[in-house]
Amino acid sequence: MPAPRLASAAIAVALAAALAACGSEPPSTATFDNAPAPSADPETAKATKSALDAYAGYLAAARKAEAIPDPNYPELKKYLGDPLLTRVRTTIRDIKEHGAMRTGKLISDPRVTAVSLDSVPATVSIQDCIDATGYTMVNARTKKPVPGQKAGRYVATATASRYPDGRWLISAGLSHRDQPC
Amino acid sequence: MLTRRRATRLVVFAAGLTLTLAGANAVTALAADGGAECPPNQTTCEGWGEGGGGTGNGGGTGNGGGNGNGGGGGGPCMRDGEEVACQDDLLGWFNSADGCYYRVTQPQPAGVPEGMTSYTRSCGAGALAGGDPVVLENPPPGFAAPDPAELAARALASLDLLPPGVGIAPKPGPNSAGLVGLPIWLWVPGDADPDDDASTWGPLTASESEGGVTVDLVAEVTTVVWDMGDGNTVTCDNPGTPYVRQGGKSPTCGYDGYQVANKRGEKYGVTATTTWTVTWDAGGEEGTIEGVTRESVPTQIQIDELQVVTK
Repeated sequence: MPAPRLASAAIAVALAAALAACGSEPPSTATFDNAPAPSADPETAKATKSALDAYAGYLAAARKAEAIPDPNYPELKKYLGDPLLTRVRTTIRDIKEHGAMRTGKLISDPRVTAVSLDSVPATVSIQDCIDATGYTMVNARTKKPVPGQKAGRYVATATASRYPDGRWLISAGLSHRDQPC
Repeated sequence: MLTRRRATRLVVFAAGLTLTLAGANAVTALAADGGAECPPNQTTCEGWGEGGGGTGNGGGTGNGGGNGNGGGGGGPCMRDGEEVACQDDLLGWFNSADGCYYRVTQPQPAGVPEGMTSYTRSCGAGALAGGDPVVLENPPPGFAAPDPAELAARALASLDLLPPGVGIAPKPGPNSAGLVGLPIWLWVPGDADPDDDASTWGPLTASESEGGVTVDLVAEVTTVVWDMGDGNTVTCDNPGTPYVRQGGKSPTCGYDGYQVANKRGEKYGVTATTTWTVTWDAGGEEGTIEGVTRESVPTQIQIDELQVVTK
């Protein structure tokens, strides 16, 4: 079990290096330099994995919710906590009220930039380079793209928090569209 | 490499600063710059071509439960001279004192002191939902959270819990008969469309939101009681297994066999009754809805003497 995880971590590192290397844009991708070593401490490793799982779950659930679109899509709250839960729901409601939906692929390349297990709540900070080039907003009826809604690759940050029942949920997050990556 | 690393830290620091600023001065900062407040999966929270910041389409006008009584004063709910909904399905209840919507933070975070509640505020016009949570001892003015049990009942009503069909071997019908003492297979046939909101077994899910309270509900059959028509019943916790020709006993749900054959012109009427377990979760508060059952129409089967053996 540890072996494949290590392998995927290595791929992530390689990807991160590649991304960092190719950008002539303002620096926007984090390196692993200040990230905690994955295997240093079992608690940290567990928190890191739980946080990244919640983050991936959130993006997947949001994609499904935006394709319907349904602001009350039940899976959202499996991975999201307030205030981000409310914010994601309202953005989906906006899409719905404008007769739009989203389709396509959202490519995510998240990494953990900080783990704080001593704070209340305990938190894990995540930084992502999201590629939304293939993720388009379309008219729900005609399926034609909504003009002016193109997004490329941008930096996103998120915070996972540990809740009293032990779950890790993504409770805050921002896309930084002004920071390409 | 060193410079890049330092710059990266700066970016992260700047992001943190943005967050802090937004939290400290939510109303003005967010209203001026709605686009910077998109969730990670979203980059287009504001650009609907209706004046950028989206005044008029946020805040939930037209989504909420109408302009009922609320806002702390009993009058209409006003913000910056404009009437707004006193209640919004997603944002919660309007507090006229500060122009923010409040909903109970879902789920409650760690570190909320005993007797206090964390509320998530949404302040200002536009897509400004979900600002920094605040921890309060008493609900803010205008806050009148709906009863989650009532929302759960509404969610349940949105689902179509179908009565079970009767799957049974021997086959019902004029030219088919079972024999005394031979095992009977019982099953609830699967749904025609497993993805819709109608099912004979579930699980089905539904959710309802009002006033910032969201209830998620799951309904699933946990037992089916087969009334065999001869005074005996069979209780199963699974939908059973459709009959396969090899015979023998059903691996999951069956009746050992009728002891008495039908008299001429009579049949056994077999009825299935499903009991649904309905649970709901309002993010902190949970509950169940009891007594949800569905009954099939009776199916007639004929049982004959096992003549070869008893000759």
